[in-house]
Amino acid sequence: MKMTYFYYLLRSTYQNIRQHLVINLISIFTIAFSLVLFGLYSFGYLNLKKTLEDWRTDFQMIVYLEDSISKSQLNSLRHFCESSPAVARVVHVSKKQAMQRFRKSLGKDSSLLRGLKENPLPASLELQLKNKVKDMQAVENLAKQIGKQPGVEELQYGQQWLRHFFSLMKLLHIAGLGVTGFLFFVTVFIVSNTIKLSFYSRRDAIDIMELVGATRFYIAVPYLLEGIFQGLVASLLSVGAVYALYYYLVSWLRQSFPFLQGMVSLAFFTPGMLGGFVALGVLLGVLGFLVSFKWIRGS
Amino acid sequence: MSSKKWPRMIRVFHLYKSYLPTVAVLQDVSFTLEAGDFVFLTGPSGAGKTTLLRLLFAAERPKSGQILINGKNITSFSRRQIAHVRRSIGVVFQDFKLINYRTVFDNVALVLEITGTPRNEIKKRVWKVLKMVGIEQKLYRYPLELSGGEQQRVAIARALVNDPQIILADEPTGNLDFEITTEIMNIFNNVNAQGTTVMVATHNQLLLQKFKRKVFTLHNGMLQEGVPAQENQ
Ligand SMILES: Nc1ncnc2c1ncn2[C@@H]1O[C@H](COP(=O)(O)OP(=O)(O)O)[C@@H](O)[C@H]1O
Ligand SMILES: [Mg+2]
Repeated sequence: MKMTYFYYLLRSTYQNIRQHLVINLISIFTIAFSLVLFGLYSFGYLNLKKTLEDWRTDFQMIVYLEDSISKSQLNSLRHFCESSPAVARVVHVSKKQAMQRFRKSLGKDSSLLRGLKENPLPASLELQLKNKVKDMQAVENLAKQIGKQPGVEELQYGQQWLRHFFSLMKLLHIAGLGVTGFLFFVTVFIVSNTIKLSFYSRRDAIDIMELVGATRFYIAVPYLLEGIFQGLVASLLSVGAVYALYYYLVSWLRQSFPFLQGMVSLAFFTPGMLGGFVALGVLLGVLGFLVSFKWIRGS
Repeated sequence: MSSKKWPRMIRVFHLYKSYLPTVAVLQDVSFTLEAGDFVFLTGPSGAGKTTLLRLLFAAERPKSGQILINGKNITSFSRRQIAHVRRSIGVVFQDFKLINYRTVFDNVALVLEITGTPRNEIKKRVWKVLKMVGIEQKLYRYPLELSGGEQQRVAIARALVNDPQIILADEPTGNLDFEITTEIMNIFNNVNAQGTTVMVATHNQLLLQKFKRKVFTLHNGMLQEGVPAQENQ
């Protein structure tokens, strides 16, 4: 394509946009609005996921031992636990240590324990799980295997909590995708309608251009470029908006909760994600164009 | 461009056209125009003059029959091919068809822009053709700021700027006084003298009498060469 040809297409696009500034602003704000919502959702999801993963890092599985466990049984159980790839560290807590801890945790009320004739607390192995244990299944498999070992009385690893955690993440993900999909659908609808409006107010000019020999391509390209322009501007606006919201959220957290100082580390988007954001905005603009053009050609 | 190379510029064979199934607008119209021909297309209002011109630049499709422009049968052309053949035909529309939000310059330049002509060349050629039709001082005005005669000149300039092989003009002097009419006819004469085929539709008998040229008359949807006796008075 000749450069001059492209220049005329660009100029025509510019004229269209200038002529239909309000219509274009509506499009841009629509795209930006849904991108901001999508951005906030992604941002929230990203941070929730990160937080939950941090929690999971110090997630423990407690293996309570029978009082009758022999020394060799204890040793082999310990060895078994240590050799599991999911386990980071194993700490043995004897009956005596358990009691000491319990007494400490009661503080002033520890006098209540004085009347006890024997120590009712079981000894245990505390397993620190590795961060890379990603899914529920792996944790449950490990529990099942340990439960089969001799000398194990009971396992405690917050199955309920874990299960909730994983299904919550899944739910969030599905809900987020659903809402985002709907939002994008509405956006494409609105954008395509604004392009239709701008097209219809140009109907006469377009007819004239066809009569003097303009190709459909030449006529259509400025509208495509208009869609791309809208998406581009909208995505930059929404990146700015999401960043501003992020910035205020962080400084609000710091001020309102001084004790969190140094602990607040909200994750922001990576450059790659920002690029994806812009691409998404452009895609919405182009889809708006395609929908409107298909409709215009059909009529 | 050499007009000698294409002696037969427009050939029309057994053309039929109707908008409503029961009313025939054109019936079995056939004629040939050679390069450098100048012809008036006449007939009473509603005779089908505009329809015939629109068929020639493929704004309408015939019910049957063939139209050859420069040896190419445009009746079977695709949209894209039609766009290209229109670039060799300058059309002056009855209602001007200027783009109101573009200046005079930009209206005329449009024809060259769609072919990707460089900006400098566009400036030169638009200026030249505006000067030729005598409206170069209104370069940056908008169509609605001009009189009817001035808009007509802009429309003619746009039709001429691409050096077309064919000029089709639909009532180009419709509502203009005789002085301007003469000027405009002189422009067409000059263009024709350079080898461009010109077809001017008019119901104005004075025009036919003043400028003695070949005449096609449409009557009851049929075309005959020359002016029928009853209309020649
Ligand atoms: N788009 C159309 N739809 C229906 N009838 C039309 C249309 N255009 C023209 N006609 C009819 O075709 C006939 C010829 O019209 P036209 O070609 O404009 O005649 P002229 O230009 O000689 O006055 C007229 O009867 C007119 O009413
Ligand atoms: Mg007419």
